[in-house]
Amino acid sequence: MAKLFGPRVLILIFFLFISLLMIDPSPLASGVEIKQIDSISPALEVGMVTGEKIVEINGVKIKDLTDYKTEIEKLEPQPKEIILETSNGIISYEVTSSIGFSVDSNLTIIATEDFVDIQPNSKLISINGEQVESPENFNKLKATLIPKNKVVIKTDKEEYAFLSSGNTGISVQAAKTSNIEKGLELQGGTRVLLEPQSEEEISSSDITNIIDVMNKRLNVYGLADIKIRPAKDLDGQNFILIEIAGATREEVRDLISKQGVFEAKIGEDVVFEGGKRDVPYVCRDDGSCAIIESCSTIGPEQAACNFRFSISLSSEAAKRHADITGKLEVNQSANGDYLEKPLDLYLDGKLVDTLLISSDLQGQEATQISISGPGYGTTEDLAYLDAVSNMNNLQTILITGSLPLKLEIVKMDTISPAMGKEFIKNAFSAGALAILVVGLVIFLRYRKLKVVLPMIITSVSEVIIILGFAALARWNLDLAAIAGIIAAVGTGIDDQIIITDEVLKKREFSLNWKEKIKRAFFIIFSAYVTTVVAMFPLMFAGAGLIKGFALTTIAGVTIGVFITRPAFAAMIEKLLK
Amino acid sequence: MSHQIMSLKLKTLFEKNQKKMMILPILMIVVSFIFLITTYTQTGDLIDKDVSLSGGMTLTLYTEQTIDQVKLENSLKQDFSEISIRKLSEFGTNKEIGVVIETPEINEESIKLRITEATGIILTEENLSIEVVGSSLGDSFYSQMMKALIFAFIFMSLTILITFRKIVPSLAVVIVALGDLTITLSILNLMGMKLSSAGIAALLLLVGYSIDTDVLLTTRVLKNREGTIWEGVLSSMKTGLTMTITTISALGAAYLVSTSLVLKQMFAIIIIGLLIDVILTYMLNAPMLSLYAKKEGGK
Repeated sequence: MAKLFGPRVLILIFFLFISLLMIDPSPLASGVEIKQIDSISPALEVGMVTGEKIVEINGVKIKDLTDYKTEIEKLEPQPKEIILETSNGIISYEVTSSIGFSVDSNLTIIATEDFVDIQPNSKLISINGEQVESPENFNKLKATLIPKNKVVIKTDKEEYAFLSSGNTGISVQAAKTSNIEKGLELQGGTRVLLEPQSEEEISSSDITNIIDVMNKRLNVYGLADIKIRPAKDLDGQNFILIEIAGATREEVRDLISKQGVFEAKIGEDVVFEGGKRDVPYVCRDDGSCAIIESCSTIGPEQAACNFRFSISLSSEAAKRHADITGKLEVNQSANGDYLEKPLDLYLDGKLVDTLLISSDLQGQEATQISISGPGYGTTEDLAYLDAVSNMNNLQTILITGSLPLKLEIVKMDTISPAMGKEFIKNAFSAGALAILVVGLVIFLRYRKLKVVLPMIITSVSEVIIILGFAALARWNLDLAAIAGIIAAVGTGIDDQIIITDEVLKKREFSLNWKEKIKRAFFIIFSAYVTTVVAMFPLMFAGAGLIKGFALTTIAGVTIGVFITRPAFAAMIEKLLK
Repeated sequence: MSHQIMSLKLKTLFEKNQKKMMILPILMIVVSFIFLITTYTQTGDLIDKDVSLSGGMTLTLYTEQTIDQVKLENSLKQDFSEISIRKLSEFGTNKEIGVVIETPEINEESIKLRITEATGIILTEENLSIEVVGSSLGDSFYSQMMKALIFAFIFMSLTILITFRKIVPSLAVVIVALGDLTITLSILNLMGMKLSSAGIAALLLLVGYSIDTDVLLTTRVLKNREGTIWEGVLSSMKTGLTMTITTISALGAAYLVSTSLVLKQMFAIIIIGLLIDVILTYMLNAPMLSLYAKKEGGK
């Protein structure tokens, strides 16, 4: 082999091999694989792992996403009407997999979902005519309202069985056909470019913070497959680029426009809001002031934990607290004396928790406040995890409250997933045709298959190695990157023509092969450097949207100049000598 | 034999008329400069920008249903003063696969309503792609791309100067590249093409391709010349034209097949630019180099 081709061709073969390994193409891959498992879900409890391929659900073979959807929908219980009697009246609605709210220790309805239209501060009295006397009682009733079905999921690794009330906590995706990360134009989804607005200069740590918060927030809402990255342009203007696959435009806009406004109210009066102005300090990661406590089993497959952490209020917020509480009456009860109105915590206008205010805080400029809330799960361990995650969310929101910077949506693109598939098909046929045409033109010029074949082999190898590199670097392959591949392969063909001509040139004096190739590579190298310096400024222009083009072009021509074109020279040398 | 006569004829044509043949490319460059300056003073911009550079919405509706373009346009005109509609069709079958609607005004809700009203198609995430660019971003995008273009140009000129270490030949390369750019821009303007950010990236690629053929020419005529100046020009022309023809044919084929308007525009710009580059490289740079080489004591 080495004798036949020489080291340069062997290097090419080596890189081709590595690239194929990186891309790991499995064009025949079919079925559905687990992309993500919720942290609190029956699927996680039984030990399912991401990446496993789902083969069967309840005995039915799963071949694609449609099969999966049909089977999962069968698991969902029939919608049931329930009638809630609350201190603020009676409401009724349909429940399927979730009752849509939860209660605190005083049976005040909290953490309501959008489909439950309950006034804040309502106390739960009965469900479907059955009196609710305690939170334990509520949990028992809840379990009877939402029946659980047995689910048997067979994966390529194991068989799992668990009880579920519709939501298994698994998100799936079609089995991957390669390791290449498909960008927006290839798989569909929504891309948002955000511009932080601020009077003051924005530091890169500000941006890192925002991205951190956004990552947490977007994850809070259970969206998988989100890419958030910072971007800059030549003027030093900062941007944040978000790409989300599989979410609708409205959903994404909603998520971003939700600033995570946290408000603590007594009645209609705001005591404090999330963020540094009102809450200068939030205890976090400190066991002395942020704890999970009183975990207990409250029913069959029902456990609850409580979290508690302290925050400091600014003096202004503390004064508001004193003014508002000063006017309230005191209710006396066996559990202690509390003010007549509780402190209600709202997140984006939704009531998340209600805290009773002890009577000794009345009229006080309290600067230390303890925030608490529950976490639920089927076991105490899971309830503990839930409480930790709830606490984290609340802390994040209290710390970042109103984001220090306003984010403006400056660009928002949604590409339909159907078009993504169409785009890939189109790119393949356009690419194949272009290569065919190149082969034809080259044949017409040189009349030698010995030139045409190595050229086609080299160009195709170039594409494969670029893709391998993209898979290795986890690059998003989007429209810009594809344009970059075209540019790189285009210059590649030019360079191969230069090599061929230099080698075939009729000369009055004979040059040795080394000299011929050297001459060709002088031109190729100058052209290479000019291309790289031309692409360099583009990497920093255009808020990161053009970066993919510049990067892919630079990577492509570099691979070309150092790997594929020397191999081409070696092949031509061997074949034409 | 005829081949030899041809090449002899070409040779005398080239050597006798070196100065005369430079008139056409110089004229083209001068005219395009004047044209661009006039455009700039009249419109405040060198190019006609599309929504990706000026702000606005692009909606792509995919449907197998035939769309009454006039009816759609009339319906959209009620809310949007400026609107452009293009049909998308599949290569080969010419089957209509949808429409692309562009407008500089941003109002997603009302345009969706109007489209449904005019076509009866219910818009979903599956059949509609929407791209919205805020006008401030469009402006900054444009100035960014222009800056990148200028920087790239300066960097490339420096690279050429370092490579050849001679002022006149390097200057010739830069003049040709600049000429390619201004003439291509003028043609795009005359065609009424609205440039996208990808289009500007294509201009950059074009400059890259243009410099490639000039580097080839300069190397063969000045640095590694084998034989006479004319032989150097001829051999680089053979190689350079093969390169250009291959690129144009490949991009032409891809242009016909591609359904992506962004890629289509990039291809079109490079094809036009490469055609211009053939004229400038061999009718301007070649005679310039040849005269320069003679002065330096060549044959």
